[in-house]
Amino acid sequence: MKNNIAKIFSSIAAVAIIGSSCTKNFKEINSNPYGATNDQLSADYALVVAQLQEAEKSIYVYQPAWVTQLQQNLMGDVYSGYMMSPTPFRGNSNNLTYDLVDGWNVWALDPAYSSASGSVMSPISNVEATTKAAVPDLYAMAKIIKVEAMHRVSDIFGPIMYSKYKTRADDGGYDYDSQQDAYTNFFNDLNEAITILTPLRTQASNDIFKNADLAYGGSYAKWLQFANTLRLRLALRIVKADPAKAKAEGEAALANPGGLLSAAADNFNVNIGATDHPLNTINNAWGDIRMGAPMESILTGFNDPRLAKYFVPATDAVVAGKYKGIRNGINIDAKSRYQSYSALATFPSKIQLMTAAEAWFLKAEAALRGWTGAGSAQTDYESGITTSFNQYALSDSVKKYIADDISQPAPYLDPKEITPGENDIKTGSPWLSTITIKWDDGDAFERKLERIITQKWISIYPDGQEAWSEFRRTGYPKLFPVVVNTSGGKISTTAFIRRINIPADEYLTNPQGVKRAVATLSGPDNGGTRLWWDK
Amino acid sequence: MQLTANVRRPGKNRGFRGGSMLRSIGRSEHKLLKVMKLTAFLLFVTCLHAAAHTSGQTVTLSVKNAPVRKVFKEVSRQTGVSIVYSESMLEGQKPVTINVKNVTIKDVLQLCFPNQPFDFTVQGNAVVIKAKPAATPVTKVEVPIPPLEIKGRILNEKGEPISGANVQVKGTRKGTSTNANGEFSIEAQKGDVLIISYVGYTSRQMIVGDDKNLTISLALNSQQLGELVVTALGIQRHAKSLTYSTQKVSNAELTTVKNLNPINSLNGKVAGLQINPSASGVGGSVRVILRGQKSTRENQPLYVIDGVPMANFSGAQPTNVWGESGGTGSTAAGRDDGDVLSTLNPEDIESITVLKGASASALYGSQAGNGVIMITTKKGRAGAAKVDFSTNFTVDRPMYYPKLQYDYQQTSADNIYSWGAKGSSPDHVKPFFQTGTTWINTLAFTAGNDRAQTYFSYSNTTNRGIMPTSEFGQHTFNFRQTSKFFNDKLSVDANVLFSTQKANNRPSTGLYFNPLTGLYLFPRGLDFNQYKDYEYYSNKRNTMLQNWWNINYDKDETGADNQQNPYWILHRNTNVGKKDNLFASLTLKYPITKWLSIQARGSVNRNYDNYELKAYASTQITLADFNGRYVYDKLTRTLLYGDVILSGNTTLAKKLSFSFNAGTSINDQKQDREFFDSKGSDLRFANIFTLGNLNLSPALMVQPTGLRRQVQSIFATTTLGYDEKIYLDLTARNDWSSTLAFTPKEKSGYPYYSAGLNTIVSDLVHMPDFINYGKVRFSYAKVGNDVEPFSTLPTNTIQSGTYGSIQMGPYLGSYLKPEDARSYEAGTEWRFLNNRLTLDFTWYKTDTKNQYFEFGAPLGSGLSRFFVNAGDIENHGIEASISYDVLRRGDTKWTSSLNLTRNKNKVKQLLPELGGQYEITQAGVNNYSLRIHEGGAYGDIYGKKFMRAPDGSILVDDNGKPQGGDFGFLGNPTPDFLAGWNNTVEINNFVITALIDGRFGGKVMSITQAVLDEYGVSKITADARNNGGVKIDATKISGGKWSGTIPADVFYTTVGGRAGITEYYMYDATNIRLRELSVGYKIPSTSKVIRDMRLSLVGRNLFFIKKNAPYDPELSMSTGNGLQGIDVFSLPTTRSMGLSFRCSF
Repeated sequence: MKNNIAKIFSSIAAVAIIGSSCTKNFKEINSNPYGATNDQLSADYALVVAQLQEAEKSIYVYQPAWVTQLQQNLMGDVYSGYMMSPTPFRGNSNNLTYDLVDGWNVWALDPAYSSASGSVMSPISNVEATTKAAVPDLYAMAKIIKVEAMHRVSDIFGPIMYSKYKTRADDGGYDYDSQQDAYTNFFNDLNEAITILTPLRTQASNDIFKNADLAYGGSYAKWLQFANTLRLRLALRIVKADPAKAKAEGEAALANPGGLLSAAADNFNVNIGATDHPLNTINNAWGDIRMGAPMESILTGFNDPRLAKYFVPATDAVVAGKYKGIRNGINIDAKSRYQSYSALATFPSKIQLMTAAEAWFLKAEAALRGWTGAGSAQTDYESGITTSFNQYALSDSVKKYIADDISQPAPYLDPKEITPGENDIKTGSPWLSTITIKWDDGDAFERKLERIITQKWISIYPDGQEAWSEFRRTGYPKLFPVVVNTSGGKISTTAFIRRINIPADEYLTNPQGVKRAVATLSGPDNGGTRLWWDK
Repeated sequence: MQLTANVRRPGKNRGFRGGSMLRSIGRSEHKLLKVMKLTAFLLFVTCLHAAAHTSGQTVTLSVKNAPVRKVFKEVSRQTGVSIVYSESMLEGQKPVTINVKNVTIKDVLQLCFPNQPFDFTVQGNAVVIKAKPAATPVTKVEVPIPPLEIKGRILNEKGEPISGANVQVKGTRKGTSTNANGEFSIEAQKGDVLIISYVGYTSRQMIVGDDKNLTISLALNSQQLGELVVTALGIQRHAKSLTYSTQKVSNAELTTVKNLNPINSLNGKVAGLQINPSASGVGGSVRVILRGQKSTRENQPLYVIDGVPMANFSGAQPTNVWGESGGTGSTAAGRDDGDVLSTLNPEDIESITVLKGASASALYGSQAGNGVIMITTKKGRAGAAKVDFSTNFTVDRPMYYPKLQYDYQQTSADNIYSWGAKGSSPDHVKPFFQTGTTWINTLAFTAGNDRAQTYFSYSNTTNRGIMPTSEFGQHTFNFRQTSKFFNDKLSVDANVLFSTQKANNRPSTGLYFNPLTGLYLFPRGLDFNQYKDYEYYSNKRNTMLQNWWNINYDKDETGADNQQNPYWILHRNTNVGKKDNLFASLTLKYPITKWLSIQARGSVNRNYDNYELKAYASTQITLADFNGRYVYDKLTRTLLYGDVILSGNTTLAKKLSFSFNAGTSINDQKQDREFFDSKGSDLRFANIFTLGNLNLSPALMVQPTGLRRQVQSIFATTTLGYDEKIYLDLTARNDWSSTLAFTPKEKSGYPYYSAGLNTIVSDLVHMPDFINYGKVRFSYAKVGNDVEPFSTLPTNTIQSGTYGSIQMGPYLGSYLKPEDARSYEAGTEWRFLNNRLTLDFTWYKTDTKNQYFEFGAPLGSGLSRFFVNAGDIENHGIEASISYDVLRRGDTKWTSSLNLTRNKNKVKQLLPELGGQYEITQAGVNNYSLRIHEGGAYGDIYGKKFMRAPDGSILVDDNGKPQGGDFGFLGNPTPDFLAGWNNTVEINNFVITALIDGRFGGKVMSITQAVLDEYGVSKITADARNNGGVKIDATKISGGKWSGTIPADVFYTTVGGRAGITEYYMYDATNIRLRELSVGYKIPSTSKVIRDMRLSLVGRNLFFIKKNAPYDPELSMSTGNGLQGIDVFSLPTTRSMGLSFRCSF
């Protein structure tokens, strides 16, 4: 009997040997035939270039359009006063009425790191690691893209994961930089990039990145100008929080031989090729976004010829043929109520993230603050307006516009409001500015600043994210507060929304990191707490 | 041939002797050469033994007052000879006392029947005894006696019909087998002997007398081994020896009230099984859960056809409230692409056995961690050729409608809501649905002799849905050939199943591309009939465009994404799904010796799935571009399977039986998908739906994906039996999965094992007379699961010509390891009162650990998703079934059985460092989320809650308007327990069956109701308006109490909608329904050609005895893991009634 059992088990053993000898193909079977490993992308430095391009595309996610809608549109584009949605999302209790929706806001955070619809930090960190020694010029461009993308994120949330990205703390958390630290790191990164690019500015472009760069075709000179302007933008951003640092960084930007952006052709535009601008989809196809009331008030008040370039007249019978905006955060019962107010004009397939006009207005403010190398505030201010007019092929009317010292923002009346009068900003309202266009050197600092920022606000349209940041920093242009505030007391109506809270997903997956990040805020993690630079 | 079958039974091989072993060696080796050539395998089998026996052994016996059966058993045991006898012989036999030494079998038998003469014949290795007819005068008749047609019915020990039992006229080749109702008819002469046999039962012999209508009961095998059960790998085992729970469903139970997807017919019939059909109507897939949910990947059991795993690949399913599939970033139109199970023809299924626990299925390894559903298909049978025809025609109507209002009008012109003035509008909803029809026809041919049997069937299904234009058609072919070669030693079993399906406009769920949204939400007061002309000629575009109250291109009306003209969707947003499924298998089996055999099997399962959506220009702009939208999705899936199994069955010592199976298998899966979606990129020309007309831009969705997985295994199982009273089961298996390549487990694979023990208590200790059988069983198993293909080597993605960097990878660089599920099971089976009352009870507990998750990574980690083995989910529960023959009186019988299931699920741990929470369906911008949360249960529903005061009352503003609070836990959709109550009543030629099915507990959400309320079209909103508003007792945010009535529109637009306060839309999921009812009549036939005619009136889902939710909570929006317990405009469940007719030729 023992003999039999032994044989049975030897049989099993034999089967086992036969069965276990064929795992040699497993690696091949388990390699995704529809993906590509890093090694497979080595030809033509494809991996580096593709990752750089991926980050460039993800500063402002443009595909699919609903990500744009959540990342930018139902946030900065509205908080800046540029636009307003006629759609009463979630029973009219949403970001626009200060009930901050985590499911939306997470899209302002995720693509900055890595997501299915965009990634910045993740590819950039790979590029940084592989290019620093081998291709320093690409390393420099990667740094610039990173700062451009991440300052926008910091300006939304405050603290961000930046210098300690991918570094796991002892307790498992991923630590944030406080906004102050983040800005210090932005300047360091920009400085590092500028140092690399400055001597290269007379050469043409990087061969590897030439065809993949969606903004400047790899041009060293342009990237350097962009980096300098960005440095100036960030310097002014912190001017209240750390005036000395602001001045030092701003003057360094102004002193660089590469210069700033100066003509409309220098604009930092991400060219999105055959893809339609997502705002066109949100505006035309979905009817989810319309002109904002402050746009109507300021542009019609100023008789600004850019109005027709930015918007189309309303089709609603009540206001047909007029430019009619919707006031932010109002009572809306149905989308049909305001859908026929002024829609946005069609955008070309370019994502405009920095204009030369902005560079002039930055310079004007720097001059106002007496920074070395900024030149005359008036000249800069007028050059800003002219550059913007040139951008829209309106150079014929710029002289008259600059000379206008009468026009002021117009009162705003809403003929379709649910409760009569609730949305109106009548003449004499404290929310209605009396600013004019024409520069007057005799004006006080604050009025000059309002004038510069108001014109900058007009010229950088439709980049609501940047416009909202500057509104928070300076209080200009004067915007209209929300009518309906569903924040549950977290956000003050008259003080406007100051930031967006860190989405719940981060609390869930990175509790320790978030805890330390929130401790760096000046208040609770909600939309009413001011950022570090927002004094 | 029945006797030969009998000889092969394990019982006969007991007691081989050394001498006979030596004699048989030479023969075995000779045969072996053939086997080697055949399989090039098993060189190691050099010396094996067997025992050949003839009758003539002697018996030594000493028993006192022993039942005759027991004596037979002992004689069999000592001699290895089977004793075949008719049950009637033992009727009235008194216990005997025998004390003999070395006497012949006949001598012993003589002592058993002291006062009764009997015949004693030796046939092969069996001894046949039968009573001698009482001496009757023999009249010699010269003329040949015309044959009589003998009809009969064969029943098992429970009085249930046995289908496929063999009936043969002894000494002739004349034979037949019983049909699904256990009936047969055969021509025989008076005095002939009919041999009735069925595997697992004692054969009986009947002498043809004057009675031409016989009812014959077969008893379980004389050795009391009981019925045979098909277990893992197709191994047949005696039910008695099993140490785990199984349940079998016969063909009759599947086909009486037929369902297009045979798995739906298991609903309510098997304890431990929870079935949720997809809300997509006909031919839709089903979600099947055995013993609870454990994983975020596959929770459904493995399906096995005739021992070979079938690829029931999960296909496309909706993944969000809109009904889209494809996950984030993809707006692919959501759909249920059906499943492979729906391609099976219920008529071809002999039986379905459900192996519930991991112990039962450990032999299948990774794939079977969730249990196994074993499908045994029909075989041809030796005997007369036979043709079976069945046809089934049912009409379907919605079982319920949403409760809507027609008394209040649209709020104002162009407004989407109906919060306007009073006025009446006609009900446009009910007339929209049409009467559905389903017609299933099957023609089956069987023929065969002892050596070769053939089964062929063809069936077709034609269905017209309750949704206009929705159609489903299917053709199924099944060919099975079983043959024996080389002296009947090599048996070959070949099976080919082919089916082809086409579904036009299979209804979709969710807010997009769903005709029901526009239908239900249509503003009251407008004329719905006006929009039956769903298109108009547009001057602007020189083509026909959508005509809907708020969608009109020429008038610049774009409408909203959640509704379109329902008729436009049906005619201009058409979808066609096609599915071809081929399953072919070949099994070779060869006995090496009498007790050892080898089997080799191979199968190929190939599945083609093709789906196209054609949305014409002017489809609502969120859903399609200016020129329309074209989605093309083609899936090819292949599963190759092969195994070789060595099986043995012998005794190791006196009273100690031993059987084993050892083998190796390979399972190779491949899936390739070509997916194109023009959305975002548009078509070049309007309304041309070809791949060539796609605009090539980065927005064009070109997403080829695939899957590869190869699992190689070795396994062994053994059963040790002591005196047929105690059994010990041991199983071991090791899997090597390609998905663990690049990890340390690549070479070592991962093991499984299980152990089980049972005792037949009723044989071990003396039991009172009313207890016929008692068994207690325990088992333990550890099974695992591999990880997702390709997850160990993350790659960059290139889709639509766009690069995407690696965003997913193993958690903190750790290597992925296999899942680990441990399950314990204890059960008991009892039969009382002459086997009339049977009881089966099981308790189980499963701990599943190290599940593979794709966890949301902290953004700072550098990845967006982590692949990680984490988690500890516990399921425990009970399953019970009780069956009772309430009435057995002549031609009247009533059998009643009750199944009870209860499963409790607990998420004990889930990666606390990543928040301890996994979102199966992400909330996104909607207020429904399905989660696995540490401390909660699998699939908890989360949503927006009311803001509440500390005393629990809701918080309102100064006007009484409720305030939305945080996201929180709202309920779990899994029922607390399930019950199915089956009744079969037979009165003469009538058979009535009724199945009442109840699910108790659980909570579900209705987004349908939430949206209807928001729009002011639900009846409840009209009632509220009639009552002057909604009464609220609440607390003010500003402090103090608030009590009063707020306007209905304020209330419902606040709580309603997909993003409202969804807490308000949770409902108790308890429901009880009359699931199946049939009244069958056996038409007496005098025809010689047509036999066994039966006509039945059948009904399915006839009515709810209790239902609290506004929809059928059993429906599932997705048969994947997500979207459970939620209804978003799903098609109502249908009530089916019809006729079924079957007959044999």
